[in-house]
Amino acid sequence: MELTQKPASEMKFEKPRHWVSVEELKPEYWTDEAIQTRHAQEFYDKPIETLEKIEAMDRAGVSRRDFLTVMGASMAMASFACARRPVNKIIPYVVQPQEMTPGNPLYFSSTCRECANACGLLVKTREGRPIKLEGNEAHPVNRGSLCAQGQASILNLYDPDRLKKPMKGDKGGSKSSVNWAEADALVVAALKTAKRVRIVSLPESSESSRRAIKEFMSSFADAKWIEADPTGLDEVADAQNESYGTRVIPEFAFDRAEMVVSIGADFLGTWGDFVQNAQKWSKMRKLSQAKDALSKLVVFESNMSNTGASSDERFPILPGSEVAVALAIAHEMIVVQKKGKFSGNADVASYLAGSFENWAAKAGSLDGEKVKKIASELWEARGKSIVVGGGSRALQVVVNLLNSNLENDGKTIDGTANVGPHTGSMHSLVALQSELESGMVDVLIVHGANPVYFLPTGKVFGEAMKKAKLVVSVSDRIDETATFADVVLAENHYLESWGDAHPNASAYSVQQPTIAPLFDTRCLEDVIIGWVRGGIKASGLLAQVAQNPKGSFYDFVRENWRQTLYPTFGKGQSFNDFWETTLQNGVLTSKSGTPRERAFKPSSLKIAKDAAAKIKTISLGKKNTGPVVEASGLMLGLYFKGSMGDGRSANNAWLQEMPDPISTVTWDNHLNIGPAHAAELGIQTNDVVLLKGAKGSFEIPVKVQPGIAKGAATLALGYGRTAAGSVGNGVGQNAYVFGQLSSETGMLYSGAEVSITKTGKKYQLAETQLHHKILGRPILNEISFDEFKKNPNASMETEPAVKMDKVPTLWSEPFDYSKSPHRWMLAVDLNSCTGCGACVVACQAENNTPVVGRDRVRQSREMHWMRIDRYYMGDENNPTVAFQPMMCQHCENAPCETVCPVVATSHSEDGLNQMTYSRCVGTRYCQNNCPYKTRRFNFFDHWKDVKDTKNMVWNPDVTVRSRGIMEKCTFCVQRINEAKSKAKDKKTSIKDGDLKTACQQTCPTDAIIFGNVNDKDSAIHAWIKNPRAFRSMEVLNTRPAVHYLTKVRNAEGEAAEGGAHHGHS
Amino acid sequence: MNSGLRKFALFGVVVSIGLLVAAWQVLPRTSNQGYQPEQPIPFSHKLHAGTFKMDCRYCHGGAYKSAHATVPSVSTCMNCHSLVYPESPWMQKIKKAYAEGKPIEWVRIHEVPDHVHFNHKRHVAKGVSCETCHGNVKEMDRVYQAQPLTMGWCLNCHRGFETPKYLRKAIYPENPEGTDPVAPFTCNTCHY
Repeated sequence: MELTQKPASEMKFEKPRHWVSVEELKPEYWTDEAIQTRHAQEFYDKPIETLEKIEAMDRAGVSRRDFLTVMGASMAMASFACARRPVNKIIPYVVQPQEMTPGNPLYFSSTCRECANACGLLVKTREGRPIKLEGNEAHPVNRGSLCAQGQASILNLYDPDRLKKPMKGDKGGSKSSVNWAEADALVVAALKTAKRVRIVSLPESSESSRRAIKEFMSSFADAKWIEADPTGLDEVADAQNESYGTRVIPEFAFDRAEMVVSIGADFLGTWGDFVQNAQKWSKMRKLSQAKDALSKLVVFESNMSNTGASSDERFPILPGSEVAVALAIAHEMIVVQKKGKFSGNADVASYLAGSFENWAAKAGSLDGEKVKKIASELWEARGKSIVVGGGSRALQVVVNLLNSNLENDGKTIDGTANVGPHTGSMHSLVALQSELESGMVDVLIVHGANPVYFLPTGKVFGEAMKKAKLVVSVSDRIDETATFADVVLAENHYLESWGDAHPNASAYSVQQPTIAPLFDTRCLEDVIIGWVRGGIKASGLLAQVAQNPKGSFYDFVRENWRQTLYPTFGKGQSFNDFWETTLQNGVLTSKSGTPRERAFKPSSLKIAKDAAAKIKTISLGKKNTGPVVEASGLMLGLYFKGSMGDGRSANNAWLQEMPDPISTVTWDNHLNIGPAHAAELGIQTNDVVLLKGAKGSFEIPVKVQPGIAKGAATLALGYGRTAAGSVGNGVGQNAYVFGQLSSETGMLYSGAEVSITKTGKKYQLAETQLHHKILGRPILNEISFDEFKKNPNASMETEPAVKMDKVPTLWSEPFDYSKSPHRWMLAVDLNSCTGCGACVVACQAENNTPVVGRDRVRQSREMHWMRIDRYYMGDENNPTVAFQPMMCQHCENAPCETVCPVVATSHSEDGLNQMTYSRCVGTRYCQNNCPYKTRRFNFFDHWKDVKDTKNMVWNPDVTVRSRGIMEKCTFCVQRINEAKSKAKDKKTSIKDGDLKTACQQTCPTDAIIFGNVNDKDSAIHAWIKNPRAFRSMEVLNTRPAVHYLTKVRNAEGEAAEGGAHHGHS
Repeated sequence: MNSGLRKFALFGVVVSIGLLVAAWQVLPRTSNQGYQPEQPIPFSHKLHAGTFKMDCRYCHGGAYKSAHATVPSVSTCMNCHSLVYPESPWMQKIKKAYAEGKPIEWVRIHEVPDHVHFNHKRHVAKGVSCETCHGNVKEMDRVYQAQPLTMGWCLNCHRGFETPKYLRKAIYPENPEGTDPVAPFTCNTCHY
């Protein structure tokens, strides 16, 4: 091991093996003086603009000395102000609820209604306030995990921008608040004479709500209910209908699939039941010994998604060409290799007629040999593989053909189990728009859906809404669509309402309110009951509930369960007992039937053939007029992000500030262009371009994104809200205008032809990837599956894990933790981490981590206690990716502890690196000395930004930090102390599994394990004994408590390809 | 040394002493020992806990099941006072609060800073008596803070320096005279 550094002039540039951005691949990055000078600064991450601003400030006379004078004076003032302790009050209950003791949390089961997947929840409440959402382990959809959006949805409850009262006003004009009686009277008057009533909502997964809405609709001559969800899998359901005759969303058994091929479906990140998908997929990614199996994931995609990043083999393709890829694979397997039961089928052969080269050209440039190999590998894994597609219906029918041909249908794909009520049909909105335009709609009721925002023709839809006699919006804010309503009825948050959900055939879950409505709001169903009570006729249960002057949707749900589910599930117990037990469990599960194979109809392939013929072969143009570069003929792919989704929670600051797993950008969307194409056009990250398509144009900053094909550009949906609220308004640009919606194809998000023109403007994206940099130090290990099979310890023998005995040390003998009752350690399996970011938000919710805003993220002052580092390896145009969740490593030989002048950070005998806020004086030496860059400094009193109802989300068990204090991951010490206390109550010790950190609890892929290694039977003990376990930057002899398990890629050679770990070795 | 310099030095000393005295006067106290605020209702602990020998936990029920000892809700007062002294003006106040559903706002006496997590349940379970930290409440007509409640004071007990005899006996029955620590004293026992 070489410990001396060569002078810069003698260094030969070698590409770093793990790199975070394309800049690092250029020799200048490591030698350029200006860049090096910035590196040498204490906080070189600070963007140049800010440094310039600081210099400007200095020139203007606000010198450091003046600053100190002012600060000194204000400190003296502050001291005087604090001379008397403030008088605090204790305000007890008038009558304390029996089940509740102040200081002890209460948990309620409920259902997450943030999206249609309807995960089960366990809501932690303190003194009547919900403060944290966790997954319900008994729930078959999520089995204890939650996604980032689910974790963050609790913040929506306390959003101060929520409507506090119903509003009325002009369509598209101003609105004023009214009381419920007045608002209801207005609506009832219109409904009484209405013939044609239209309801637009997000797909409703609640059986009770469905029944209530249908019974309400029965009283009108012509009532239609349109369910539309931009993230919905309409095209999957439609294609299933065409291929198999039933409109379902099948259930995918990724836990039994040895090979998965995804063509444009981000099934681990945003597509379908992604929490469940990721959970199941990860079951096939756990390795502890050489003979273990590892599934293989192959992804063809235009955008770099979490799924593509987690894949073993990835092919960048052009947006809109997904069907061509599917046809190429099907053609190879069925026509060329003559495999499977459709190989002799003349119909199928005629639909698959074509040449590989033609399809490959449309997809960009596909490596024929590799695709052919994938076709044969798929055939080898028949019955134990899955092909999924994300995109058009044309693609889905070919996917269906592949799955039927591979005998996956009925084995790994269950099209008979899922009832899939939560799929809408976006294309029905086209018909609705023309109905509205013709002025035939009497009353339009909009609930949850936001078509004015998410339709490509949103503005036209809004104008058309003006022709309806009355538009009622049931919404928690005056969003883009509600702006065009006459009456906006303030809606509850789901944590304030009763309800239920039927997410799949085998689960019925209850939605239990955990807090009384904060404002004067109601849930949709209670609004309808109010209308029925006001004189609108209705049938069945709805009429019955409305007759009772005190009847509410709670009674409706209960009665509906009594009628429908109690007879089957409640045998032998009274309904009350059945209901109470279900409330406690949160979910009812039935055994799902065995999957059956279905007959595939070859005729459904016609649309695929037609669609493939319509794909334009890309022809890129480039026009240089002086400094202006215009590139035309690009194919645009729109995608959803795990944080922002379709944009419904754009006002959620936790989600806005969550770094995108791939681009690490917060607070904005951006146009992704591949490095090769960007270099050709002379476009760099942060350049603003004018994006022009057939239907719209806007200016947007570019991000040079490795792994995107030349000629492709991708853009995230869910941004550019104009009426989301104070947080979400004006963040990014609305990409829905580039969607293509027609009643034949439904919504297509990829394949629009666009051009980009460089504007010469710059916009600094608030990306975190260059913050907290490791500067080329060996930080993570990854090897190929072949190597692992030969030698499970192989990763330990590669350079990153330089063994400590080879490095001289100044540290004394390590502390003997074996005598302590506990030795806390955490391990992360890099092999199953998909980088989804749920842990980041869970940590933020648990630990009162502040949101800092776009500008402060630009200055690398984000406060997240854990981040997900994303490293690229290999070719910049198609790199492989590894995610590494990075939090305080709780080093035994902690570099931060030795430099703290006031011992504010120290080590406990159970192995925790403790941060004592009250001792901290804010020197930031510890932050500077931390090799993992996991410490965060409070430059401001961030808690002062938390106002009004938002204050209710604080976790009272965690200190809210003030200005001048360092903070970092504590291993959720409040949970450790709570678990210790509980164990002491029971006079036992903490058992493995009693205690989970917030990140571990929410992780859909069980990639994080925390526990006591002194307990030899614990899972963590087994994990750190795993041959793949290593500690990051072991060479520094910090002896971290956090272990990582090497990423093993199921691909040949490449992943293990050697290379320099240092950018300038 | 010339006289000018001497004068200057003297001036310096006087100013420094003055500043020290001023700082002593105005800088915040780390302890609120002796704090005895007036409460909205002059509830007498001496009468209830002393004369009537009511158990502390009748009103402060959280002490043995939660981190907070908890101050009783109005309904707890009403348990007895719907019959006992209902006509007293203070009871009228209680009754009014009960009827209107408006809680009584008591003035907080014992308080540790926000960055300290004190857990009543753990201390009570270990056998720490209420009086050890709260003083002889049975003798207090109006409650005051009897102990400093500073970190040093906490640690004196935890580390075993000034642990009350009865407590040491309860924890180390075999060695009641020792000086071993009786409770954890790593930072994150209380600070997190």
